Amino acid sequence: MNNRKKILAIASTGGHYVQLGNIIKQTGYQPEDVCLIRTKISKNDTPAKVNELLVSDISRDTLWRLPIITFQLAYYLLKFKPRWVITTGAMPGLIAIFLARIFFIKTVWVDSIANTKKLSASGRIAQRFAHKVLTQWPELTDSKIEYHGKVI
Amino acid sequence: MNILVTVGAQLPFSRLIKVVDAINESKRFNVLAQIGEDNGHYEYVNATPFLTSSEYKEKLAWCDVVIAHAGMGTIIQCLELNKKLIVVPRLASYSEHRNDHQLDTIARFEPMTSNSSLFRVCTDMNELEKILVEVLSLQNDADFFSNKAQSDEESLGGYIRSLVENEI
Repeated sequence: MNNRKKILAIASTGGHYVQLGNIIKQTGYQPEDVCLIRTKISKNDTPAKVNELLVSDISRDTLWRLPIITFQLAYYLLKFKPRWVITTGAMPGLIAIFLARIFFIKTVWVDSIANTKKLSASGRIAQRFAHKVLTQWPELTDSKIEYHGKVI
Repeated sequence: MNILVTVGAQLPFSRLIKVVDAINESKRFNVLAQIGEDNGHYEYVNATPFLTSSEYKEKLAWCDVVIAHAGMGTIIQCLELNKKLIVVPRLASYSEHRNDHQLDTIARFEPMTSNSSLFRVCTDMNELEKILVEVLSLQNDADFFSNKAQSDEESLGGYIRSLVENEI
């Protein structure tokens, strides 16, 4: 995993990451084209796929980990120099988008399919920073939020 | 019967685990419950805070039915495996989540369920045992949804690929 990646895909472990995995599967890219990053949820949590990396978990309750995950993500962005960063959320994806913008990498936020009535809180923040913001419900589109299908 | 209970990677959901524990006092199924950071004491389920992703995959294959919070991750995985699934939404009023988006999620999916679909929604804990019995009686190859999700012309992954290929 040292050559340049097409996509760096990141999400917090759980439903966000399941959706991200489905989207990546739908792209048809090979594992070597994509760097998958998810959050480590326990001490004995280890990567399950060849192109998977783990970073420190962070949420609104664990903001003190911000410097750690920022450093980890910045390192991976510089190492893999992806063309695009894609995330389904939540906070780790937001941080990846901020950092990607600093490194002039294109970014796309795909809001979770769980948000059926309005964009997630993180998605609304991402709207201001990401190059593209997608929803998985056609009803939620507007001038900036696009719909291009859903994960199921 | 093997049952996997999962509350997802983030928050505990003790209201659900308590009910499953109570149901299993008489049923005595093999219940593995992934309960998160939950300090509750449960007698009739085998409780563990978290499962690694390989353990989780293994347990999904092992179980006959999944009982879970109404998280999209669980719903998608069970849909793909055509696995029996009962979801119970977390409620913000019990501080089980930051907001009631799980109610919004089930509002989308409940119309696609019936008592002959593998996927069921439970909004009343008193109904959980009845729903469990109904679901267990179904054939494993029954339909996950009773009405097909409206077919989608667009492929999200295809769109992402076009983004990557068109802008270098």
